[in-house]
Amino acid sequence: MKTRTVIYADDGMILTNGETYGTQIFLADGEDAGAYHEITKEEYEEILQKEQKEVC
Amino acid sequence: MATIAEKLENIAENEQHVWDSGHRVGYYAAKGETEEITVTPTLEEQEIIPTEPNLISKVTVKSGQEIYDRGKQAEYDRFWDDFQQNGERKNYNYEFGGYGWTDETFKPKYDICPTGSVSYMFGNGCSVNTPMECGVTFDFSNCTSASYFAYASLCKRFGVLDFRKTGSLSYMFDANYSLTTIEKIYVNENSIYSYAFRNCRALENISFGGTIGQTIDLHYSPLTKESITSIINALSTTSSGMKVSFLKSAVNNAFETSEGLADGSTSQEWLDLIATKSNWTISLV
Repeated sequence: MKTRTVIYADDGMILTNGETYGTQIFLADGEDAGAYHEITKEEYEEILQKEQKEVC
Repeated sequence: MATIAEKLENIAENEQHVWDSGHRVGYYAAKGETEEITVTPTLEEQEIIPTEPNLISKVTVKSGQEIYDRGKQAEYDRFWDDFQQNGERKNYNYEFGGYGWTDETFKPKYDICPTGSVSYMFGNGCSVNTPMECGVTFDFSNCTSASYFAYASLCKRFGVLDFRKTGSLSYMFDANYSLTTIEKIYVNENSIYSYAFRNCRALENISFGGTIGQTIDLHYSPLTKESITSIINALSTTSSGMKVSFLKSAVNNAFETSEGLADGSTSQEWLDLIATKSNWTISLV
């Protein structure tokens, strides 16, 4: 049976590798956990707002 | 005392008036607007039997309501025959976008079978709650793009969306805060979902047919267990480098091990489900 690597963000933080965001991430086969780092929820919200403006 | 000729003239005048009033109501309704003055048909059904010789033997006058309804129907037909090109129309880009359309006024006459793009078809404030329950059949199976299909609309529910030939589903339901249900959406492995479900904060029910082969983000939506399961099951087993995102509270509630625990994301049922798609990165936000 395969073991799936799960990484968790600390409270108030979001994990990201620049493309994926989450507080709990189930990595795909062969994916490197080291590619992920934490940002604050405020930083995450800013990213979302910036993306939103790019559309409108 | 009025002569037969005068009576017939009066009746003709009344008929025209009642017809026109129905026609006018139909005109506004077909345009998705509200008629300000509704004229109540008053013409009564009657028979006139002439007493003079050598005239027609009997005249039957239809009721005002019938004439009124025929006037209204005539305008409905005229509008939708023109709008839908007598059922031949294939291009529905932008067609029902905007606040003018509601469930009351969105009453197409012919089945809707678009080809090509259906961008903004129900976009930009379209206020039809249940567009696919208007009485005609929808067939999107020949569409090639559904980008912005119901972008920023107020639609709450869609039926079966067959987008199997559709390449781009980008922004399909973006900024649709009212959407709760998509009965079934068929996709193909190459369909692109960039921001397709962004801000779908009321979306609970969605079922996928076909294979999801590209990154898809559903982290705004409080999906049910059936919906989440449908999405996981639809994920391609061969694609690589793709990601799917869910709202963590939705997963926690859907797969909780005991009522109220909201521990679904660590439950064995959830882990067993996603184990079948270990080629995907699954993020909970």
